[in-house]
Amino acid sequence: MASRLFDQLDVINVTEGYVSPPFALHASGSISSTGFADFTLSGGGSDSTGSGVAAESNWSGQYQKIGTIDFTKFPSIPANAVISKIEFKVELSTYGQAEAHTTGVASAEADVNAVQSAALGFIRSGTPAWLAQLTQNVHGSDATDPADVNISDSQSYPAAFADVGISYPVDYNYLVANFGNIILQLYISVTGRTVGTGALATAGVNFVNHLRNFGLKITYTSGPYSWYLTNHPSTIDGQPVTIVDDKVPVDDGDAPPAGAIYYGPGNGAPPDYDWYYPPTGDIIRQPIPPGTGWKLQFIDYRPAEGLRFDFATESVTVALIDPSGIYTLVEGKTHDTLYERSSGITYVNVKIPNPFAKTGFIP
Amino acid sequence: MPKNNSEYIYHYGAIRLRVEGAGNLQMRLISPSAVRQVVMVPLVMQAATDENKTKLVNFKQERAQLEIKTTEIDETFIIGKIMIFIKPVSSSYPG
Repeated sequence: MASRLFDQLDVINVTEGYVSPPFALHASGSISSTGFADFTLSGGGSDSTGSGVAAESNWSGQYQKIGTIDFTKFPSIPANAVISKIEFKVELSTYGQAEAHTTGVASAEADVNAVQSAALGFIRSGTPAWLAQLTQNVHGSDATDPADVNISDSQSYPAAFADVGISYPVDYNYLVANFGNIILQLYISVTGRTVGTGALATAGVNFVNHLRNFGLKITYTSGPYSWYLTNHPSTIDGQPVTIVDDKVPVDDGDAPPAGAIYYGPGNGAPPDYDWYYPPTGDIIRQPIPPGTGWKLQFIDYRPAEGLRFDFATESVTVALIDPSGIYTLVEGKTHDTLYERSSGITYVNVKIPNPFAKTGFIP
Repeated sequence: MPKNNSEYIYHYGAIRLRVEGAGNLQMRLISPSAVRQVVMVPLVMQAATDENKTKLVNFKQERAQLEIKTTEIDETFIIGKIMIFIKPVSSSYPG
């Protein structure tokens, strides 16, 4: 008879690298199929009052929506996965050119001094969470002296997705249902000042921004059983599940510690109980041996409804602690039996690894 | 043209087996140095049979190995005879 062991969850990095557009990112701008985006923001002012009167104009920047992250487009993540981290990377560069021109009176002078900043962030509603920022001063002056300024920066940023309402760990189904509309947004801010004296003075700043090699990386654990107190399943792996909250400790010879959570085999018979305390940080992972059922009873402590229980099953071939290492030949036996001396599990049956025969070369 | 038949290029057309067992028998023809291979349709085995089962294959090589195996727990096979049907189709590869 094969038995099952319930072991702790393992972190599995499904995406070794980064997932790139187009299927994870819906562009509402000019993102191409290769994930390269160009945005041009022109700002500036032209002013002239003539007759030697200085004039100023100021301009400011704008938001540019790049696209929407669609988490349903990640094909490799199972529906009940528990996500522990979401990261993104992007290369952001911006190129600016400031020009100033004067016409007319020889003594006229135009001058432009602008500060451009580009910030990349995510937003669901309200204030965006800015994650990357570049700043560059641009200056140009005189009629024949356009100033070209290039700034380029390639960076990878760990996405602070908690800033847009994602609390780790998060269930993938929940993420898809509630956070599929996360918007990737680029903020371009150009503040500048143009001063012109003379008959006509114009000044302008043009910036071209490039966003390339955008990718998302999601780290998750596989949890076939993940449920909250309010929607626990009736069975796990064929064993009944019971949630008891009657604050009546089961007598197994020892008084339960205050505030302890314990589990048992479900039949209410001592001494098969172990004591665990409410989690205070990361999820508690505990090996739980199989029994005739699952029972969770809370003594003097009722955790919040958001407390989640994750159970993952493991193949018994990886769960042995103290195998015998001795093989015996048994006539008619078509599988291997591995023995375990501890943890109350005596043996498990596994297949013989792909027996085969290969002939010599024919003819 | 060499007269020794072992140096021809052959077409492997069928594998016939006298086999009893349980489960699916996986078969594969492999060229020298495992450069090429063809995976055949598995043969469903019976515990007792009086028939030799034939599986068609399409593989052209000078020489080939036949690999047979099982992949699931409690699958077994006992083979009494293997017949491989080949036919020379070419004499040699150009240099």
